[in-house]
Amino acid sequence: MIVFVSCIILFLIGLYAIVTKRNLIKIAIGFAFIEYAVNLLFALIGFKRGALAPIITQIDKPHNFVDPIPQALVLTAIVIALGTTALMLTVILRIYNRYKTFDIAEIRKLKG
Amino acid sequence: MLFIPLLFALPLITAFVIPILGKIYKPLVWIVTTVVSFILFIIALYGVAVTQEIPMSVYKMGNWPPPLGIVMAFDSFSAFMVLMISIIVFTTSLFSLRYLSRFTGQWKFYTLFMLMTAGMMGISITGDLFNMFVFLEIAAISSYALVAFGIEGEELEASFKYMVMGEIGGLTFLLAIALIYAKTSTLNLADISNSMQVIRGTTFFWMIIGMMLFAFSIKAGLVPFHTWAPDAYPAAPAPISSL
Repeated sequence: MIVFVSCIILFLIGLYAIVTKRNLIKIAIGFAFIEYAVNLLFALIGFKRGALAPIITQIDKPHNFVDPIPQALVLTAIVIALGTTALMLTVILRIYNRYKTFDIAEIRKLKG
Repeated sequence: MLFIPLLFALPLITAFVIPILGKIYKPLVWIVTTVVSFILFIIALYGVAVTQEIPMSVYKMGNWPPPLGIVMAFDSFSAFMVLMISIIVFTTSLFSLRYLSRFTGQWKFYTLFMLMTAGMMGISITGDLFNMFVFLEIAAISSYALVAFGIEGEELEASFKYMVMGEIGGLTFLLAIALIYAKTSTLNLADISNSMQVIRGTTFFWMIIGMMLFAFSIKAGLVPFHTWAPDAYPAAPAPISSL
């Protein structure tokens, strides 16, 4: 139980960074925190204590495997998170070239 | 029911063919995009005709049986959504030629445009929760890039704001998927609907519902989470704002 709670705490740390920090890079790091928290939670859901890696070596023997589906899903989620992080850092770099600052308080041409 | 995967496979393939075509002969890109979106429109019309006879058709990806493999479900609601999307995509690509003549790198626009189409088509027809997340992120990432398409200060700022809001929504959706999987041990939407009857009304159930509602209201720009919308829409190229 405590591992799940610490995943949620990691999620909340990331959310805190996104909401309160003024530096664009720190916001991107906050997103990395959230992504790790969700992926870790996903991988822990499929975990069983003392179970084997899910590779079938003998057909007719009953096996005690960890659940392989969350692992496959986490791989996909990591790839998506990579794409998002790369795009976000690219946009941050472009913003820096325009405004010469990483501070979101100084980047406010928009009204919304 | 072979036409169902074609709905998202066709724009996905086109999206990766367009950069090659853009290297060979630039005006070809617009023609290919328009033709492909017209074909999508025809397929969507065919799908509507099919739902008049068979109310629910299911395509199994890779021919795996439903609880194990990914399924694509096509009922009358997804037929309606697919038809709407294909009409908008076709008309948008038809009228985008004049608007885009002041931008450079038009093939990049059409690549992202087709990726976004593939994502939205996928969301409408998928029958698998995680697959829905993947298509949601495909559509979302390409739309973040499209909002920042003309790289001026305002557009980049709007794109960053949209990205921050949208990613919080997307990751909350992923967290909700993880909790649903922990409770039901399935990702098939029909299976989840059955399994959810058991835990209906518990605190856990309402927590998942709340997370889903939060995620989708950010994506849709509902009122407490709407602040990205007024910046993102004017910043995006006009053909994209219509999507």
